[in-house]
Amino acid sequence: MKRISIQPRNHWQSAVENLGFGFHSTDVPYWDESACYTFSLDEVLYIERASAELWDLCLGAVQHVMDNHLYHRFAIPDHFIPYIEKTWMADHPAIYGRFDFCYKDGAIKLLEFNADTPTSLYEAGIVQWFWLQDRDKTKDQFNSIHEKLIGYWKYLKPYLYPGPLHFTCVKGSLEDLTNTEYLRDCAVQAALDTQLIFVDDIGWDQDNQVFVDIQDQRILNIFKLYPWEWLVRETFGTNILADRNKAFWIEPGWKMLLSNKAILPILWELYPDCPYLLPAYFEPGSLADYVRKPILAREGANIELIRSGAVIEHTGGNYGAEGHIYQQLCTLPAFDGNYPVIGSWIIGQQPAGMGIRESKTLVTDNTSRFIPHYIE
Amino acid sequence: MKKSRHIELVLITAALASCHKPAHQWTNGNAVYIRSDSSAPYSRIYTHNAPGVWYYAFRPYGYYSFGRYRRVGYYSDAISESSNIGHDAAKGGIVRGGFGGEGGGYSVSS
Repeated sequence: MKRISIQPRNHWQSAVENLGFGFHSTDVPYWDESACYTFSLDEVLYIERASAELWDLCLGAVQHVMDNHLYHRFAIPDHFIPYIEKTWMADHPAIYGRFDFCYKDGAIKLLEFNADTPTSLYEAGIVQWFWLQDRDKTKDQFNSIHEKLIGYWKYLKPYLYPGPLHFTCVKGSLEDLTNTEYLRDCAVQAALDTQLIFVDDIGWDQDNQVFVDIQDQRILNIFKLYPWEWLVRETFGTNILADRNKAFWIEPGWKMLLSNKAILPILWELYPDCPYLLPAYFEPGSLADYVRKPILAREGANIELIRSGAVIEHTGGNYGAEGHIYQQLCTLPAFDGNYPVIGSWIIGQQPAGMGIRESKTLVTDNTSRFIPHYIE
Repeated sequence: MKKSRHIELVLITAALASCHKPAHQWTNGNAVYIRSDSSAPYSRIYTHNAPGVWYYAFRPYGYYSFGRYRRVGYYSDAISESSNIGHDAAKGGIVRGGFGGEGGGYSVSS
């Protein structure tokens, strides 16, 4: 893995905007092609293998949580537990997730698993691919995201209820809308009938006890770019349990377990010999150097890095009320003062590609930049 | 082995051709192009405080009472007045706005 400084394309902004990538910059650049990362094929195969193995371990961990009724570790409301178990036992459709890896000194370590609402999918699947076409068509990239999304929507089609597949996200975020529309784009190409509805426009038909869209049509299948931990706390949350249609929510309810950082100590307890896992606990215990993470948080908020009892870095935020986990400190590798984290995508149960986000600090937060990559 | 094959985008880029409002009409933000048939219930609005073209179908309305805001319901310019005010008995039992409050409307990015 190497970092190379390169010349951005002339008019790169219009190049990415023509792809529909409208959030390439805010007050700080987000899409950054002044550099790129290169990997050997062996390194990519290693990332792919680690992702596949970790996905298997995650499924085992979900079963373990259910078998041993460990839900109290996840701050999940009791009344949602039967629903979570039902979505697992009935194998409700799931399509994607993103592992965040530290890749340093030739070793991969799992930092967390964004299993419910991972973003940067469009950048990883499309924008960096077209960047490579402009830069060097002869090079390859760890990236079959687009094909796997279309392929898995096709695969899921017979498992969905007859009728449209709705897609929902918040109104106020171009990033979320782009990610959601990209997923819908792939579903359209898989010959699915789709509808977009923003999450606060979802209706609840009190008479019939079903969810409805903005045309008052029943919602039977819905992809949501909206976290489960928010859904279950909101006014309509319990309606999911009362829904007479028993609509498929994608990602499914059981992903509440994998997207929660409480899964990290459970993975470690179950698989201490796994080379990709860091020691993690619900108490700091004997860890001298560790990271304290809220079990429910987003974009690197409320993280504390502790070394020999001293805080070496921390981030602010409003998370942490539900509890924390403690993971052995594994600082990201430094490339000229830049700290990259590898986001390795699982789509349809298979490794599908990666995207790299880079920060100037050890914590990858909402000011990180997306850096493209290729295979040497 | 890792290379993606031919990539086609139906909604986001190819939709430029089918979008009923050309991109150049929207110059004060970054556009995402949505297929016109499936997004027809949504209307585009401008925002002055943030970049981007936003969409809405139903807007909340309400009033302040004793210093507290109370949301009464939702209306949409895309449907008839009678539907808005609930004359349709079949729609009378439908409530909206029960999701979307937790994140304050911000990105769920993770």
